[in-house]
Amino acid sequence: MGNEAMTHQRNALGSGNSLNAGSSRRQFLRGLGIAASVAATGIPFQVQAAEDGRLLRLTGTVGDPDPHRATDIPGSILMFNLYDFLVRPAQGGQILPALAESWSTSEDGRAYTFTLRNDVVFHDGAKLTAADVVFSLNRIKTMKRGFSALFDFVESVESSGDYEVVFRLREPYSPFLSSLTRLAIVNSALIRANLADGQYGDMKDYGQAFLGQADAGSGPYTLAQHNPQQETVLTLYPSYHLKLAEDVPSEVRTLYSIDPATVRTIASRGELELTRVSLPPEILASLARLDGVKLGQDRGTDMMQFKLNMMKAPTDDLEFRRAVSLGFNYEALYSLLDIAGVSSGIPARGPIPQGAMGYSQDVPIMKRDLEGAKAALARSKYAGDGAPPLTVLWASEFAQVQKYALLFQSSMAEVGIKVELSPAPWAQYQKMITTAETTPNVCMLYVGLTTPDIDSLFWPTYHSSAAGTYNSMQWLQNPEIDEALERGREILDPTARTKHYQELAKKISDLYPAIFAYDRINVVAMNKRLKAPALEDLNQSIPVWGGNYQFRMMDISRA
Amino acid sequence: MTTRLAIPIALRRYSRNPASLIGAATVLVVVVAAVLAPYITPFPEHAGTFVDFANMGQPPSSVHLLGTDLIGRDIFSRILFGFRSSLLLAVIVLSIAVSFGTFVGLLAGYGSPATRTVLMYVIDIFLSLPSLLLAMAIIGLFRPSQIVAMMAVSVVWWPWYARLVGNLVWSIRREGFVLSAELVGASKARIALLEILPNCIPSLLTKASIDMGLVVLLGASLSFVGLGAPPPQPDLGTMVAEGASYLPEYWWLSISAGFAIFILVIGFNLVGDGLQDLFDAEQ
Repeated sequence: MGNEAMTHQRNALGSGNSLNAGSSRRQFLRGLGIAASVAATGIPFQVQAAEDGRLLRLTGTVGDPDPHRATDIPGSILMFNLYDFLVRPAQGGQILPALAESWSTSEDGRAYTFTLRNDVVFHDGAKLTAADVVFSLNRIKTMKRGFSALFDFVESVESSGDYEVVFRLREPYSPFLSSLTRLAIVNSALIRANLADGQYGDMKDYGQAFLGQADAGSGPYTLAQHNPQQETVLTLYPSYHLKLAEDVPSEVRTLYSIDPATVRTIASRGELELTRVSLPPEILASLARLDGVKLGQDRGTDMMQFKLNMMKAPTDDLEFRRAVSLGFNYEALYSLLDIAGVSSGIPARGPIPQGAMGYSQDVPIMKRDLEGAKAALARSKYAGDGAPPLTVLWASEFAQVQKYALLFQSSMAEVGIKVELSPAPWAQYQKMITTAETTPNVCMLYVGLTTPDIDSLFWPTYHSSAAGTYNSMQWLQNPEIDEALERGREILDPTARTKHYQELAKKISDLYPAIFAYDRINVVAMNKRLKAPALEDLNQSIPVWGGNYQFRMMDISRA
Repeated sequence: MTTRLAIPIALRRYSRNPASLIGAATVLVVVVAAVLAPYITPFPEHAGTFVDFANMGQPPSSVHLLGTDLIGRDIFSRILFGFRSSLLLAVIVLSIAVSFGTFVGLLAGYGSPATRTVLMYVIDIFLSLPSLLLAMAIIGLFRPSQIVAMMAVSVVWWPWYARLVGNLVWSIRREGFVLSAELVGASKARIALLEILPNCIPSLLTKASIDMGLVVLLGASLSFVGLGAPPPQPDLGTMVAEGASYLPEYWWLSISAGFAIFILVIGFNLVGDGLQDLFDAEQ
């Protein structure tokens, strides 16, 4: 279908050239109309929709279709729709069986035995077996890409028959089941048949070139087309083994590189069913006023944090960080969270985002304490005029975050702290934060859980060994916190773990490594024909990156 | 040969062209408004560290003549302060570009043939690179700021003056007054500065006045792609860029800043046209 549509576009756009060769005037005008559409919107007009009318079009950013390389939300969305996993994340942070019918754990917590379903078939018709699970784990561990760090604790994996697989861990590792929600099971035979030159010995490139353009999964959708400059097209895999929504989209097109004004334009023309990417509140409010459009809420576990570089003056001083944290005007920030009556976030309660293990309503939300901030500043080693200006960084692609930066600057002016604002494009941002010296004092960013376990946020954020990424821009090099994080991975009892992480969160808060601003709910605009339970009922949301974009659970009535 | 013109006569000739007069008046008003911005803007504090989310996105009204932006700041006030940045950029860039370009042009036009060949190649290489892309590449090496933008635009602008002066000097280097000066033993530097350079001034003035508008445009283009002054400093190009995402609902964000750039550029262009007519008539 996708290729057909592209062919139509090429023919139409090419008709200007063929006019001299005798093509009809109608063809020429059609080509002209499409060219005008491209010029006006920046994207090609969709000539042909899904034949059954169940076409879902959304905007997005480019994700890597290789599930063992992807690390971000767009990659996660592709991963959850093209592949299956032994277990899957569900509402409220639960872990439910998926490919694994059942599993058992050894008494020492170091061996997990999974029994697989025997009715799962890959998109090419091959049966999914334990050998594919073994291949998948070896692939991600060998390549050391994507979410491979989640499997560092796995010592070995072996199949025991076609439908049983045993994972052995070096030591007990509580987040293991959660980690498995990121181990996409790939079709080993298909990948072996599509190896290209590479660095992995017999496995050559481990099929990376192939999986960059095709899929080898058993998920509810297949990859029909992937053009990082334009769009990705998924088509429904009708033989999928789990339940599909009654009017499940038969084709999903993700359009790339579209600015907010264009999103609004094409949505108002009814040519877009879902705006997945984060849009400025003003655009969302304007979309909400259109007939046939409603707002939805994509609640993950993202939190807006202003990370304070603890290895750079003046934020290397605890009292100075306390002054910054107490002096910020939280109430003004909270006033921005309402978008046309829909909440785009809730005030944070410490470093654990809502929906994650250890989150507690007993932790108070932050409120401004201007006098407390001034007193803390007076106690700091930078009291008086001794503090260099705070440098503030945010990704310039996020217009909304600029408001927070300006609010931060204005708040700090009242405390008596000078601030220099310095936005940078995301690519440059990532380079700047690789060392403590080049990381600005304040870095604004959304961070969140990549698996349902709180360890997937806390470890990369606070453990010393994980420093140098966008998660760890506060450069918290603290042996006591490191030890607590390591202990958290060994505690097997869920209640004891919850208590442990609550205590750890308190210790972290007391160090003021960041301003924990708010837990984000990404507001999206949706066509009223689209029913997406995870985006319309917060209780149905699946709190991991991309978890709410499992298209098989959506209904799209015919246009 | 002289290019000096009695000022009253020059003014009379210049004022014969209504368009030139309108241009001069426009530039005068903008310059005065920019210089007096802290005193005449209704909300001078809105040009600095200021947020007022309760008033964000207000359409034009009697309180806010051009409305407020999405931070709650008065756009009219920010435009007047934005004129300051744009004019400062244009003045500094042209000061550097005209001085350096003229110096290189004198060397190329009145130096040895080898010097001329080498310098004209260097100038052609610079001119063959797209100005905007070259400026973006230079800014990309540093943290974007107004000073870096000024340096980058200066780097892409001087070759135009070097080529203009180089060609002018080349065409007059064998004129009688130059040869006479050489015969009486005047030094090359003295001839270049006191005999040749004054003959280039009319062309330089005309080009500089038109270039004021063009430099403002290039600066706005750099800001538009995110390489302008960092927030919260008012910057006309940045204002246009930030508002463009919100068209048509919040039309006043982009339109007012865009119109401000238009006024500034058209004013300088009309002044440049007037000067050109003036000097052409003299010749």
